[in-house]
Amino acid sequence: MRPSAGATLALGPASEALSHAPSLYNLARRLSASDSDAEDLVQETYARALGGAATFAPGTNLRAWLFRILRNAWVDLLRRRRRDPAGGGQPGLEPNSEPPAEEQAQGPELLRGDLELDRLRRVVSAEIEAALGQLGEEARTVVLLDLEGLTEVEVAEVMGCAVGTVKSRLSRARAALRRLLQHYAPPEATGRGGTRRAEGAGEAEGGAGGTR
Amino acid sequence: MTERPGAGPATRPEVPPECGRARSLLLDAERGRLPAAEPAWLEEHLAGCAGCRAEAEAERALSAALATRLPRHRPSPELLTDLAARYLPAAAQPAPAPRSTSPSPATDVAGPGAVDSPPAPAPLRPVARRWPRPAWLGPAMAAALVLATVGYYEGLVLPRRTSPSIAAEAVHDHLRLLASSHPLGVESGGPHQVKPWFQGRLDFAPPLAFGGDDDYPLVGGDVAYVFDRKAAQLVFRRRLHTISLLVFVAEGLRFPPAEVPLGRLAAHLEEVRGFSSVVWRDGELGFALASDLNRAELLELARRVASAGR
Repeated sequence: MRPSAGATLALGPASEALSHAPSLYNLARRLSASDSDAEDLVQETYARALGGAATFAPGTNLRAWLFRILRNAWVDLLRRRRRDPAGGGQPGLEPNSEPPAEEQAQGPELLRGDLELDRLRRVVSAEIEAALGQLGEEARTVVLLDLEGLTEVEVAEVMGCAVGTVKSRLSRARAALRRLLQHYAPPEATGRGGTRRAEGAGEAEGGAGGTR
Repeated sequence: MTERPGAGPATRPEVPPECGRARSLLLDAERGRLPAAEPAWLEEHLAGCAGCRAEAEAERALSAALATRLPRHRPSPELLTDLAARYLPAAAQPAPAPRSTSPSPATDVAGPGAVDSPPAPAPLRPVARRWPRPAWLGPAMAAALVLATVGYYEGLVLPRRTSPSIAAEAVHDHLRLLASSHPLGVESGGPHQVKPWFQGRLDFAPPLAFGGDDDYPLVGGDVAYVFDRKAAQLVFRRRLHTISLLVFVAEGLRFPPAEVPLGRLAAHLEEVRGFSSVVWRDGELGFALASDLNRAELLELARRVASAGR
């Protein structure tokens, strides 16, 4: 008897694994900035996961396992491209000479609390994509995995590092995003918006120094 | 990085250890992952610390921006079809045509039927730019498989994290109101005073047909945010309870399913952090109530607002 489309448990682990394909594709596309690379990475992930080479123990964390395979496939792809740049891929993936945004110890100061909040509320897709692109590769990955709903323990499993490392990477990456997002466009004058102000962090005289 | 004139290298202001601890907990709190005693400690600290409150707001705004402003890339149906064809057991698929060396649409057999011998799984190929489709998959089959597969995936992919909800936004705005020691933007001398105050502060005209009554007097108004857009925040009172009503442009927001009738409309009721919230949409505008008032009386206010019209 054939199960109908939409039947779940009867179909076994392959189907559950495939249900993660949209999430895997989304991450792959964000990391590689290329539709064809993302498709290849997803195919590679499932080939490694379900192609018979690896066995999956039921009851363990399937999603984290798949993301780990995807990430490893991506790292492999990056390494291959660095050795042979003519092999294709996006120019933006070459290692930067500049340190990634989250490692810059001296960043522009955060705006006074209410201005920053106002700015964050107005952020548009292009800005947040650009900011994400300025993070280092590992920082970007932890932010995206966290966004995908993985716990810090799961992220650590995917990245192959300690949970503490994930915590600090995530914290620095988010701080870097906040700094970057403030400065893509000049903040609006505070005449608009509520009269009620948060007593903002670091009430510096005249606000932050980095005005444009 | 440009330095401020007259200053040395930019340094961060010193953060007291307690604040440092509070801020390190913010993301876990947002994700609902704090261990037992921490939420109470954090709440208490935030109630007394404006700096950390501002941090919490900013972190939440960043999460909202990431969750709602970063487009989600969807895989092509072809990719999903291909994956399904490769890896799902044959029993889950529409009956394929017998494997042939030179497939053509004319020879594919469509229609239901038991599969006697499932095709062998596609051999593992090296990563190539093109992943050739399994030979037996004709176009009619492919279409059926896509529909089945996509519907199947949609059903199976559970949201791992609930997207930030309008009700949660309303409660947060309400909490901000309660925690603030500042007066409201406009104290009510009646709707005739409150309504003009919003002019120039919002990019839409909030309806104020319900300007409060004896049961729910209007206390005042202010401007708040719902996700990325400004909202009119109207504050009512019922006995000793404060109530926030947020009015905002609905476009681009996903409203939760509405189960509770409100006259000609319907609303969604939700509990967030011990507060009740009522959310509904009326045409181009969204409405959200938040309060510690009991549900029945909050719903009654919702009915009065909804039926007052524009």
